[in-house]
Amino acid sequence: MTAGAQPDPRQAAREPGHIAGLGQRLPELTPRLEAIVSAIQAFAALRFDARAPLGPTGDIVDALAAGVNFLGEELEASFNEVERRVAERTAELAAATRELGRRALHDELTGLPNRALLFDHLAHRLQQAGRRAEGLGLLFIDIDRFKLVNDTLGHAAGDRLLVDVAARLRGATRVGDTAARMGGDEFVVLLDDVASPSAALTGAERVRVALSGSYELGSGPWPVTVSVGAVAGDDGLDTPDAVLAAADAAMYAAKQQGGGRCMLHGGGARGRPDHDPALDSGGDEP
Amino acid sequence: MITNPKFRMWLRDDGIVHLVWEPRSAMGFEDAVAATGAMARLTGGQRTPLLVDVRDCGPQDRPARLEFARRGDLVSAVALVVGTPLSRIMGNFFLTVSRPMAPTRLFDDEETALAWLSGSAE
Repeated sequence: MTAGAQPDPRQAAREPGHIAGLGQRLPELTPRLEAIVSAIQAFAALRFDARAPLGPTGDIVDALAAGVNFLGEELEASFNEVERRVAERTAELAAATRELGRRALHDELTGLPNRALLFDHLAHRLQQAGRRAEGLGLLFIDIDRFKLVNDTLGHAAGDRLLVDVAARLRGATRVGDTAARMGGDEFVVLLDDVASPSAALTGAERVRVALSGSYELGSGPWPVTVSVGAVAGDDGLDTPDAVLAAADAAMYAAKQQGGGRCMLHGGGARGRPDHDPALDSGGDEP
Repeated sequence: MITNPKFRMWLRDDGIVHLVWEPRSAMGFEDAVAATGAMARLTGGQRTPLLVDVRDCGPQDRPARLEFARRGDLVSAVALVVGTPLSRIMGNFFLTVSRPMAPTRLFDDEETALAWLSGSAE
């Protein structure tokens, strides 16, 4: 070939290693193709940010490299999208699981722990009894003449009273104690740290005062009293059922004496019934 | 005419916007935003046929393709004039992967592309 003359493409095509249309010999193409292969191998190893370099000509090898790069970009985007969705679904599942767990252990109306969670806390606290110096206490609370609210004002007002009582009960409960709704108009407070039966009775009185009083149920103020049965941990009771039964019995004794008072299992009473003639005539309980 | 280091764009007398990408220039997201912004300025945001000369352009990345596809509200039809194998595969990817909203086709020459755009504008 003379200086300045154009290469003869037919001659070039006859030379070993020439690929038609590329104008490059195979040895010169090899590193470009190897770079593309490297990018493909990186994708296979889930390294989707790998890219094959492109030359300046936009020839078929550049098109191949660009195509591989395009696939890498799309794979990376799809992979990231799948990972994002998996993370999103996992978070939703975890939230749903937490919510199911919460519903299984909480009263739907008041949001307080339910009987199952109270039993769990009580059983755990009883197991600790031998290792802790301080004792436990348990209060069993029943709203006096609750049936009268349902019968007179309707069940919606009854539900509202339960919610309001639960709110006051939360406010009257110390950190570490567990306030729970057992069902109906019955509530229980597990006192985590009680020095003596007298202290349990003091706690019961604090709760009785907090819950007693006027409630707004949609038709003017409605006076409410509660009866509270208290148990102290050193009463020889060693199972949740026994502790609850003892507190329930003390609460029943408080009811028998007119309600609006606290009774300690094994003796002791505090509180006076808040006399209300309107309540005296209604309901099948004090 | 709007000029940019990566492209030139102008509104032709026949109402078609002509976009020419500079040879061997790679297109990224910011270039796509610049081009669609220029288009909006030229047309006032009205849907307009667009002739794009990518015959000798460089590679286009995914964010750029997505931005072009997203701003389908600016165009009534798009004719991509391709030349090199690289520009052809990029055009094909834009059609098949990005799925532009407006009718979009690849052409080997400007004349046929303009004829199609004129027809699509009627």
